Amino acid sequence: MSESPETVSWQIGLSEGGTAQVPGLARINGNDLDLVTQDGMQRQYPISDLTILVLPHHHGTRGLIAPIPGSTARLAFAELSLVTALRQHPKFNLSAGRGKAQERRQIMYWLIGATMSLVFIFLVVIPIFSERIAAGIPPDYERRFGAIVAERVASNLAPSQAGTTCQNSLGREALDGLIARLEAAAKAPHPIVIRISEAPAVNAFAVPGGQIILLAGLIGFSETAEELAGVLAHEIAHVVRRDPARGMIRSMAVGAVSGLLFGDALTFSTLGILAASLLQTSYSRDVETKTDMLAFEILAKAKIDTKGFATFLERLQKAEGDRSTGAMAYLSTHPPTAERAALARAASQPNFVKPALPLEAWRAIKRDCGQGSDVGVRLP
Amino acid sequence: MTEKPGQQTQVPSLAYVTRPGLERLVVQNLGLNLVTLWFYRFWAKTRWRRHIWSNVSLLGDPIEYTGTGAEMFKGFLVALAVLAPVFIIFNLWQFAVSDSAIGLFIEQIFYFATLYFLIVAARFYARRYRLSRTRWRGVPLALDARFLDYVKVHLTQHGLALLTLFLLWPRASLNVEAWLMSRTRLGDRHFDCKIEWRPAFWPWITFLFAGLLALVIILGKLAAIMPQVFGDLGLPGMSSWWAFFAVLFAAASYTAYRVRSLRQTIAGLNLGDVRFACEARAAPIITFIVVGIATLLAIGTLGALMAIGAGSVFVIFVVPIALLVAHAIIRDAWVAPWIVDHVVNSVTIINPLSLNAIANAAHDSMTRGEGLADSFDVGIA
Repeated sequence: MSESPETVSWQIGLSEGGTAQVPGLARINGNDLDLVTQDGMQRQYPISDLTILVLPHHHGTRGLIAPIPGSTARLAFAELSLVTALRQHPKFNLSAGRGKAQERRQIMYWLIGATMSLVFIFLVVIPIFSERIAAGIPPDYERRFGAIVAERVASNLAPSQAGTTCQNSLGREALDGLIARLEAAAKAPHPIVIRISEAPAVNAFAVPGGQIILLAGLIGFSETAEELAGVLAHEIAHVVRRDPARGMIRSMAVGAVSGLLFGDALTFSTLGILAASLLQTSYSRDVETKTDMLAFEILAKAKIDTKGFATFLERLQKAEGDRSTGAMAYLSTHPPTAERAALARAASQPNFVKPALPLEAWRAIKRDCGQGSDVGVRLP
Repeated sequence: MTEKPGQQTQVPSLAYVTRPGLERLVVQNLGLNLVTLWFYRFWAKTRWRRHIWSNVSLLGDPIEYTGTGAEMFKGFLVALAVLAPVFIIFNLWQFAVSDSAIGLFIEQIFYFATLYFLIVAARFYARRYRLSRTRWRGVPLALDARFLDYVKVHLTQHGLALLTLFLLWPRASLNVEAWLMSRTRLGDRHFDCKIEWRPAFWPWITFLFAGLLALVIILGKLAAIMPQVFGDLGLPGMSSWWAFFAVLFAAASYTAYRVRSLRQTIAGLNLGDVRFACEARAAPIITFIVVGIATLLAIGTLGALMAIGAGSVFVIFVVPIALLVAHAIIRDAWVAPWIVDHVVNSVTIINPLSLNAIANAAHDSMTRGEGLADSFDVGIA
């Protein structure tokens, strides 16, 4: 374009909101864009205030300029040469049309604030919240609820034998004796109720209300009464700490907050679940370490050697490999097995030389309550 | 360069033009979303809307989206403040009555009633927000309706549809749509809307049967795979291909119903002496969606094959994120703009020059964000 911008005029449609669009001509005059409409109206806009909102398109769609910041007034224009002329003008604010610096700064502040509040919610608020709520649950409620959960879990694991495995047998009698000894050493807030489920996995877990589900595969896998006692002490320690109730409340809170954070369904289903499971497992690893420590105390009080628990973990690690090392450690609910076994071995007291149970009693437990294991899905 | 005032290029009264830069914008949005753990999504959605809205022009002037990411983020925080206690209360309530069947039943009734109320609120406020942030020649759209009136209409209409076992669902949803459109205005001019719902009836019935068929085939398939969970339902265990085609057919028939509803809605609209007609067709829209899904499936399959070779960490972290990225690009850069393009270019405006007289109303301001809609995934665009 050889003409000076000041001698050129552009066709404009002016909309000021209160009236319909009026056609007119615009011209650069010094530091202003001057406008004269067909019906004789005159406007003068400082070029430094102009924001190009939309560029014109060669299919005939016009572009848009906001002439006054924050107002609804708009200038519609068809020619790209107006954009070129404005952008070449020394007073034109080049960043005005593209994501304003102030807005970017605001976004950064919001992001930093939001991240900090999230860290606070997940690391402080949710643990305290779940702690308080769990402490406030009446023990009677928790026991009734736990019984329902245990019933459902047991019947899901082994539908045909739910709750009936090894009842009224010498093995069960011997097992109850071992449990009573550990319970006496533990001072649990609920009476301990152990259900044996006829499932082959090597697993045991505590649910709210003092309910512990012991899988027959775990009894089958255990080689000594001390090994089994170690696992039972770990689960009883969960009951003492009320971890199942707390964990349940925490899962609800983590699920609810993650669901709200990640908005739409698909994003939630991937990011939400990933984040929720990572958080859950990291909470869980911390809890498991503390639970192991308490289990060692329970075993010591019951005069049972923690070496049995160490042997159990070492054999399990050998049988199925340790999935709680390397990158997979972040997805494991338990700390590395070798680390746990080492701690159990360190806690061993050399003066406990007596077996946890007489050999016949242990054989009865294995015979009546155990079954071949499949070296299962999760560590106890 | 001087031109005479009044000289204009001839353009269709409503048109969609493809402006460059959408793919770049979508990729930038995704990158920022990934870096910020999806917190950037409010700003991303705003940038995307600004681009798509500006591609649509009415009488040669682009539509403008004036919403901001910060507004949506604030709306989200409000929704968080409302929803978090509600869900916690219901979780605790359910826990407290977990051993009583009647207690659980009552809790569930209240839960679903609250959920219904929240979803209806989310849809209403999201629509009102989007309208108030959409301008043409500086003139905003607006929804002049009260939320509780909307709930009453929604509840009455859909309650009646439920009584007919969903058969008259199109009547309910199009009556609600007409109610909303009749309370919508562009600047100082109100829309008037009377929708003839009957043409949407048969597409709806086709969808109902297709949906039922898909449900039966999927249940039969699940019962065959997991008899311990589903028991013997007495349904035929058909191949996975049948289930796939049944779902595809149900989705296609639902799209056909939605397109027919849209045509009816547009045909029932008046803005003063301006009238509208729409010739949108389901087939191209279904094709866009199928092409999008097929691309996503191809990427998913490729990812799964690579994952088998690379190990479990890859499967857990990389494949879901890659699918999420592919899904966002396919949806935001291709499928959604194609659909908007098809619909916009299928609309004819009768007596469009009358729109030139539209001006702002005396007062136009809307403040509510659409965070609730984001939480429930009902913010459509």
